[in-house]
Amino acid sequence: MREEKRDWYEFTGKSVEEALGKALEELGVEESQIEIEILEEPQKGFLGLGGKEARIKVILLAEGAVREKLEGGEAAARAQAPEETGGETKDSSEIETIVSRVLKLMDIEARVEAKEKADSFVVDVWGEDAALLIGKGGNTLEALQTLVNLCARRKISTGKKVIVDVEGYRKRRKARIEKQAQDKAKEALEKGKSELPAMTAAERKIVHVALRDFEGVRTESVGDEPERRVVIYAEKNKKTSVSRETETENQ
Amino acid sequence: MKDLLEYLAKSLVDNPNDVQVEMIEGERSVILQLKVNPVDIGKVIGKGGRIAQALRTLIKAAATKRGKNAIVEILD
Repeated sequence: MREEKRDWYEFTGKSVEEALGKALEELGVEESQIEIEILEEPQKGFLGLGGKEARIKVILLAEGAVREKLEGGEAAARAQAPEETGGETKDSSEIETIVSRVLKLMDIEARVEAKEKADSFVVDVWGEDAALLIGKGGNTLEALQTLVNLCARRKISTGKKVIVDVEGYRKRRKARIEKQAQDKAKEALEKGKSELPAMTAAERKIVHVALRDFEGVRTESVGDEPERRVVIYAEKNKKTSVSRETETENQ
Repeated sequence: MKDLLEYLAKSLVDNPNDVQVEMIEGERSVILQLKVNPVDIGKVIGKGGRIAQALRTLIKAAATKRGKNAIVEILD
């Protein structure tokens, strides 16, 4: 959260208009609610170097309303209890704004919908550049989610995790990981041990949960991030495994 | 890309007014230099460079869309 309460903010942009646009969007106010002071006019640089952006100071006039949105809005949002299936709340629309903003700055046209659930916020994104946004092995999507979580933490304070999904990628990936876990568990039963590829913490959890009730195996995460992976061990009763080895030796 | 990095960095730090991004654009690659208030440097790097890595990944994706390669440098 912001350390001190203040009623003015600075914004920059290629032009004064752009800076103003950013200000209105970020603060969620109308032009009539603010007073603008131009701190610096933009200056053209040479070959994209040395240029100076326009800098404006935005003073909030409608104190209460805007401050509430930025700092005190969480309480009001929490008052509207989210449904089990997830609903739109003040916080979820705040997160929707952050994601839309990031995508817009990436020049990606997409539809964004955020919902607040009991233990998390879920943001679904649909658009043309889904593959780009997901990235190799979901890398870009992970990065987006990491950053959105950090940005959101400053605007809302429910402490709930934000899960960003693009075109149902996470849901499909979950199904694929579960299948892979089952296959590898069978392999572990045959060979005594098997290993899954490196995964994120959330993905490893899918494996652990999927194999919790799988007879005869135990799972363990080993290695350091980002190479941390799940290893599956065949869990034989120690005694029987020892005696079996002894039997083999005796033969 | 510059606006994207600037927006993200400003959202991460305690002193958004001290965020500066310089963009050096070549034909095929773009170098973005991010400067933040020294007290905020951890906020853009993160534990084990986790945040810096996320910033790089996202900026690179944005650059790919424009057919460019992007390099993000965090200056201290």
